[in-house]
Amino acid sequence: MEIGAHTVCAGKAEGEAVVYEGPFSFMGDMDPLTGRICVPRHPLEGQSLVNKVFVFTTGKGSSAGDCAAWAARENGTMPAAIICLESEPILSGAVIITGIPTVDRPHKNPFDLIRTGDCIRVDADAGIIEITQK
Amino acid sequence: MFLDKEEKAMAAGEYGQGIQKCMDYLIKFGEAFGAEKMVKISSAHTMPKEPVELLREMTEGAAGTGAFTTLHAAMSAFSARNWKAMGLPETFASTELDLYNQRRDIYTKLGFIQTYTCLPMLVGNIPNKGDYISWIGSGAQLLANSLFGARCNRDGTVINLAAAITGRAPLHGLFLDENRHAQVLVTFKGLDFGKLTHADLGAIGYYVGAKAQNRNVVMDGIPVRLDIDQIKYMMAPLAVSGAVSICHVVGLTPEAPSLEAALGNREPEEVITVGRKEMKESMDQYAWNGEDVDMAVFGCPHLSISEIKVMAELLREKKLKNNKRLWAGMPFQHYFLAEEMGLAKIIEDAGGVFASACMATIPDSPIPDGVKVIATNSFKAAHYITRFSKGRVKVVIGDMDKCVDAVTANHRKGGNS
Repeated sequence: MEIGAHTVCAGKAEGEAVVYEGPFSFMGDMDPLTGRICVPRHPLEGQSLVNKVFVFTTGKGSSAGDCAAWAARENGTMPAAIICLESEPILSGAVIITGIPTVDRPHKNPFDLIRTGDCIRVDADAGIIEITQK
Repeated sequence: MFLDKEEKAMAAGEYGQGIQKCMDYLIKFGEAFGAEKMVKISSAHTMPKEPVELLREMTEGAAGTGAFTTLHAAMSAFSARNWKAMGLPETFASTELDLYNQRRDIYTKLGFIQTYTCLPMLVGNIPNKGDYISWIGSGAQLLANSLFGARCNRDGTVINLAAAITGRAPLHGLFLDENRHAQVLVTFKGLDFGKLTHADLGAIGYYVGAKAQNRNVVMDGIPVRLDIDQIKYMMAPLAVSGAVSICHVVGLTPEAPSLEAALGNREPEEVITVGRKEMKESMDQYAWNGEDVDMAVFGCPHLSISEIKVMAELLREKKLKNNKRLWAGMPFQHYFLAEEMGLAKIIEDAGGVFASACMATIPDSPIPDGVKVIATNSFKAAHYITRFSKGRVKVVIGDMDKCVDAVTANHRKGGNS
């Protein structure tokens, strides 16, 4: 199944989905050393995002989220690709400087269609999300 | 995206690898937001906390910044000059100092103006109405948009740095007329503005920010001419409890000659009325119920020279009580001014320390061990210190005189200390 979407950062990647129906910031939500969600009592606390296709609602939070993402890329702990409903400027800057294929404004609600563990291919060059295996 | 000849040359690497990288980031970012073209910025204000390697990459081969560029306050309260007097841990300070020096070499080479303040307009980065600027720091962005009528987006720190190096930024968001009108109207009831303190004004901003979230605000019905310090305390929390980028004040700020003009001749999406009850809602979150205070924190946003003068008067012939601390954030240019005026000596003799650093983003360390309760007149500081210290430190709100009283005792010459 394919879903159209808007390109934030071009590129292609595929991986296992991690789905979180809430907002996310690289600053404070993900440990750049391990690539794991580090917020106490977060529904995904401890979940690794490394090489995953991370699906969430919107970017949020500190303007230094891009620096945190850059540090994560240096450590090799970034997700493979990102799908979100709306990528605000700070998240957009973060994925652009780290070159993570990212799409937003998907034409169908990803939270109805994608579950954690699904195999997802993101073609951000063409603006297409492909669910390859449920 | 349309690029002029010079921008194309930047993108092609004719000005070196750093500028090429910066322009590449800006083009991709602009395209993600549907920007038609780049515009020249009149000034930039960047965060001196970027990874050193990233700073090197983005400035490689560049002879200077592309626009007049000042530096934001040093984060985590770290002051290269005063960290010892502040009692910061040596291990923390030595790491920070090393990075500070590495960055400083690059800043010096490229001609960054090393202001280390969250309010660059206090030290000479003064935009004109309608100027495109790329500034970091939610408080400075809000004041630049609102008070000066300059045009500033809330882009992240790296896009902001790329704009500073190239002197360009993509035309999007608050650069465009149609995105600058207010959606949220704030009115007031039962408040005597002439008597509101800085903490009271902060309580208004903190309440409104949470309601307005990321929408533009217009305040109507403020019967007095607020001064710059009052505006600062009222507006800064809008970008703390919320993510407000512009707050018009009818009759005061340049894009609000009338309520209709500020609203762009549309009806507001929401009307918020603020009175005593709403202010109390903010105050209650940082209520001071007689707790013994270990440290007073001022200068969030950074202190003006008028406030430093008031602080010195409050500290004249006073001394900090045993194990109590007083930190004051300000641009260090103001420190030299305060020194010249004899104010710095009064404050330092009493035991206060200055830092050209951020007083809000103070995590558990460097807050010295033993500090369990902090008093401040700033909602912004209260909000962030509570969160960055993960709740270890309790923060209470009070006006400057009350905060000073809580950490000092009288100390007349010849008397007992």
